[in-house]
Amino acid sequence: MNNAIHNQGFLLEGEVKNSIAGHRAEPTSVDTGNFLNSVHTDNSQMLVSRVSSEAKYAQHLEKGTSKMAARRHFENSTARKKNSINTGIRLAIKSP
Amino acid sequence: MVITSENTLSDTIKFVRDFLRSNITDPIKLSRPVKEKFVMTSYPNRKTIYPLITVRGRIEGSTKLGQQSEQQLTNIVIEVRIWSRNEKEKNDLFGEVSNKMLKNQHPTATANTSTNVQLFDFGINFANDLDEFGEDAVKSKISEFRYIFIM
Repeated sequence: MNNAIHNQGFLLEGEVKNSIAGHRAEPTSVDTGNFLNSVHTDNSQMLVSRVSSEAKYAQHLEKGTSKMAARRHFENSTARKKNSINTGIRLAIKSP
Repeated sequence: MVITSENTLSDTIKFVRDFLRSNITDPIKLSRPVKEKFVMTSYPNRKTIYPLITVRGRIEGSTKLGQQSEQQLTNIVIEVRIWSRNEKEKNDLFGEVSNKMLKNQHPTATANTSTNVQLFDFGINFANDLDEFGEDAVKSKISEFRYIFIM
């Protein structure tokens, strides 16, 4: 079960990175590659997986500023992968 | 105001926008140009006058009400973003917004309360600061409120 949840974190991380790299509908957010490389999954806790970015400006890209529209890499990636994440966890619960 | 199944999201956004427009005090009410709105549904492209409140929304999935039902329990998330000139103004406006929205749920029989327009189970998902960098930069606070609607 723990592995299943942690694997879903990696799945979401991949989706967020694809979104940042311009492989999804959101605008590409790669200049130096710092933001793309800063996205990581923290699986240090049991049954918890956190996908986040340490970049100082990550929140500004995600939610937008007065000069730039929101890019919503994390929000849209989560929405896209919500069903497959739920399915992955459901299957892990069902399997012996 | 009626929230319809055809336009659930836009009706909900307009309901919140209109409620905030008529209930939140604009700190620069006297000096704001007549055509400029204090509460909007998107960030304006023209020159902006702060403070400003933007309201947007999304549907976060729905679940069927039962095996024999075509109705759906829909989760609606409303993002209210406050753009302001300083920290105090930002926090004061957020306090006013959350308090007014919290207190606008009942009674159901009264027009324009959230339960009156069939928006139930009000709650706050989060509220966090997102200030811009630099001197005299715009201060901003993003907050998310949630409702459920049966469509």
